[in-house]
Amino acid sequence: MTSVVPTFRALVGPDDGSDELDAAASYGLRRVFDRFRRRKLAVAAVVVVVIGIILAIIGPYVAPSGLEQTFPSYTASPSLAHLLGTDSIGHDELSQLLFAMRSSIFAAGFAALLGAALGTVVGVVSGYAGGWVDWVVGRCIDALLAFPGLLLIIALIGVFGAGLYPAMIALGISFVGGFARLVRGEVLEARQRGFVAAAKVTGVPRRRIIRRHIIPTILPSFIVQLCLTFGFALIAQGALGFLGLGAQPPQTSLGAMMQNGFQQINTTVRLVLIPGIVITVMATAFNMIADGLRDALGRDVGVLAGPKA
Amino acid sequence: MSLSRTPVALVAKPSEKPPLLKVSGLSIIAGLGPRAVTLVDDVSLHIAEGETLGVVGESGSGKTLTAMAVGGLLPAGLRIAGGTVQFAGRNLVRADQRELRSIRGSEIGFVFQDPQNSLDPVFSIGSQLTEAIRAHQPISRAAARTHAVELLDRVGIANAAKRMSDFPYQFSGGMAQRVMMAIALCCKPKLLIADEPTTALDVTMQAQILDLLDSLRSELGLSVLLISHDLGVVADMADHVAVMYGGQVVEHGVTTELFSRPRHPYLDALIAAQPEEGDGATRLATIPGRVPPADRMPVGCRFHPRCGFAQDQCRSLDVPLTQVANSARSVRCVRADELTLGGVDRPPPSEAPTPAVARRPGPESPSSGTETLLEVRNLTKVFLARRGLFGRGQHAIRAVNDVSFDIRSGETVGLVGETGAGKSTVGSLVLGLESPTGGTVSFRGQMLKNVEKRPLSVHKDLQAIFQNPYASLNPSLTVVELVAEPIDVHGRLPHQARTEAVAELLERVGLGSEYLRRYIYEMSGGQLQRIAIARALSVNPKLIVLDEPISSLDVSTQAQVVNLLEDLRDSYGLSYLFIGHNLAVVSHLSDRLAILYGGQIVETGDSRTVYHQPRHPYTQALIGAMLSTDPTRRRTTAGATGPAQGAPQPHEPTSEACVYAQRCPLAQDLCRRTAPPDVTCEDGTIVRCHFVEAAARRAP
Repeated sequence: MTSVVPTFRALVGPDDGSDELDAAASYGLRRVFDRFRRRKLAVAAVVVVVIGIILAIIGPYVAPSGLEQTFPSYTASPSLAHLLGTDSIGHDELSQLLFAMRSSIFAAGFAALLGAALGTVVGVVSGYAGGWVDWVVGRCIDALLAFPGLLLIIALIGVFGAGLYPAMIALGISFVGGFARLVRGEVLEARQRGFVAAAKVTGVPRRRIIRRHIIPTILPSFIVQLCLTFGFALIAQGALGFLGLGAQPPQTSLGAMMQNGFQQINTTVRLVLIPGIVITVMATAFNMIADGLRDALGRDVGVLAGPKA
Repeated sequence: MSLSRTPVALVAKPSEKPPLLKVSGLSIIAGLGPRAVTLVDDVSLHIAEGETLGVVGESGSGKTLTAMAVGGLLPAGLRIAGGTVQFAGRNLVRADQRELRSIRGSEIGFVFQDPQNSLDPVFSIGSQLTEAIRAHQPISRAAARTHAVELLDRVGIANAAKRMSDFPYQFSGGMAQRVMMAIALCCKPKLLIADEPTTALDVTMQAQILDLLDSLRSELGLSVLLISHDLGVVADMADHVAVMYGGQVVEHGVTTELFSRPRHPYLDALIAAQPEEGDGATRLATIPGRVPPADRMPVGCRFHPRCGFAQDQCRSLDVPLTQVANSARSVRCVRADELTLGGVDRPPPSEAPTPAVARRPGPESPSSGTETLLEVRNLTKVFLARRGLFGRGQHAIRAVNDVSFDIRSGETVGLVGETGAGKSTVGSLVLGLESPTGGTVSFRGQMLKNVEKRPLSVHKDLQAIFQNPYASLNPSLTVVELVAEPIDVHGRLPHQARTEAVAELLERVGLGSEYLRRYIYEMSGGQLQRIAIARALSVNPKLIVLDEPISSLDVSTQAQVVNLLEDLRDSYGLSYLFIGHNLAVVSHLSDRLAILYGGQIVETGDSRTVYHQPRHPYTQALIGAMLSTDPTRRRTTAGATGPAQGAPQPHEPTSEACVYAQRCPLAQDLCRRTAPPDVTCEDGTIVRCHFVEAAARRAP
């Protein structure tokens, strides 16, 4: 029976447009931002992610030593000379970490964006066209999703060859199915909305309807999904690196670092722990941002599309 | 309109019985500390045993909150800041949740607006009813079941024992509301709180539910707290009425007295805003502006910014609710004594001369000529519904059945019918959002296909406004983008000119250019409907399809929008296809009316003739079921209550019977065997009935 009880906002809410509206406080993006800001955990996660990205960008320039530079001390404990110690070959662990963060974060981002872009195109076409197009696309997505994720990626790597970016293309493709399905569902829902019918009646052409009405409507759930995928891509990227399917030496990645360290796990846990913690912290942060965004966006679909110049 | 009224002295006597419910000085606030907002301010009400108190007001007046507070059902975040709720000798404000729970259900029953939402969809109504009974009475399951069947029978559900195992979705809105009433009554409460019990229902269904409420009330000696925004419902049912505005009671008294001679300008204005006369010659009275939000209540009298009689003292003085000398009546207006307000006995505004002359320049006006804009011929739409788990066996529902009509330039045609009559489907077919199973839609002689295959010129000339502006306007766009969209599609304008054009359109629909950059969630329903109108107007259309454009709006806003539509039509020479369920509003705006039942047009003709001399039994039932704000003028339920008592049954395509035969009081064997012909009367009205003559004699 709760549905009969008017919501608090409906009763007092400033959103019924009286003239002295506090203008800035309630405009689209701004309102989402205000709501997001109140979620301390999500804000902290943004700080973590931003630091991670900055490190990834500037890492190679501030790293104390080069990627392939080795030192005579193997698996040395942290010291002033090597803040995080050295690994089994004598690389400076901190430098390795900075190089690895760059390749891992960039690669994960690339994979997620690739998957999102392809998936969105497929999803929009499938959802908006409907009919047999939708059916064919739907079955293709089913086929793609029927493979266990890692198996699919390994198969694709077999096609593309090993290496950081081939692995990331494979990873990206493994995200296409999920994105396509999400976007298709959202488009199907958006297509039923009253304003799409209103636009059709006015004679708005199909492409403009998709651009102006459908895309902004699905944007919030798309962004949340993208954020989650970033986190997931980072983990998957680590797993691939660990299996030796990602970056090939002398390139390194967080997963590759873990693989190297794994051989000494009984004596030097640190070498596995450090890259592992970075992956975990970054992935968790992305998830928290996604959660915070989902709450902040709420049901105000479409608020992200600001006024057009 | 002047009918005899009960002498004032007789009804004005104060009830000697101690009140069953006495609310005194109730205040409800939201929020904490300095940001707290008072939503209900010092409300006092009382209901004696067996009495019905009606509470009327627009949305945001605090009427629902007051009722919620009585039942201890305030939503989280709101609390009672002061006052008492005395019910049968107990103060409910101090009662704890357990006590409240036992009182709710056993002594106070609730009926809400939307019965389908109040029933749990996953349980059969039998189990919900039995559960409600057993929650308050220590009786066996079997005994509770027997009692439940009795209750269902009592509230007028045919085949009660059999329907116990049915689920809520198998009930129509009206039937579900009956189930809700059975649940509310299951433990013989003393007080029934009915919050907008008929608002979601059709007129004829509303009449049935009100009749049921009426008979239960007298039979069980129930007291009723009836909350409604509809003056008609309250005038029909209540002994006493409290009018609420901005969280305060502004007028309180005996119903007949209150409506015949309102003393508060707000009540007077509400009464005047009712389109009761169905008369296109006059404009509806409106209340400018709207209810301010609770955190921006004006100083002084809360109604003064919208009041035509406001003076300086109204703007500064906090007005108390004062008792009128020698009566059981109180008013919150400093000028109550000096003002003479019309009420229901007001002279019909500007006593319309002969219809033909007084009406606005019709199709004969120089600009329009008699070009036929829209030609709808034998339109039929059959929906196929699957039956069974695997969709084996389909059954067809004929939503629209052989509907034909024309709209000439400058003309407004009204399409009236209840839920399921197919009126919105006709609208969708005309707009091309659905494809017809049979028949054609032509616009200026050109046959129209689906919306996506129509030439751009047709889109430009044929625009639409929908029922719910929150759904039909994209929330991610600003007002300027929304209004300019048709302009962008039908001939672009440079940026500056485009903005200016939109500002001009906004001006035209009564909004300032400060709205240009707003989003829709910052605006009220009435303002949004104006945006939708501006959008439709932006490309100078010839015909606008209005699909229930005012149904989602408040009473005072409805009148504003209707007037706006009327003005725009006259100044732009527009034609409208006006679809609605409220006969009074539709006929007010229309030149011709078409009454739809079961997908067929059962009566069509000049709107005045149809309204004042209804010939089809269904039209008569519709008009009879309409509620008047004049409490002495009773609705009739003849024809509204057919033996079937259900929603109009979708016409089985194979059936040869008259669509209305099931509910028609005049139905004979002939009606159930053969479809009636269209009979053209001498004044041009076309009626689809076997017994036009007999039916016409019944006309009021």
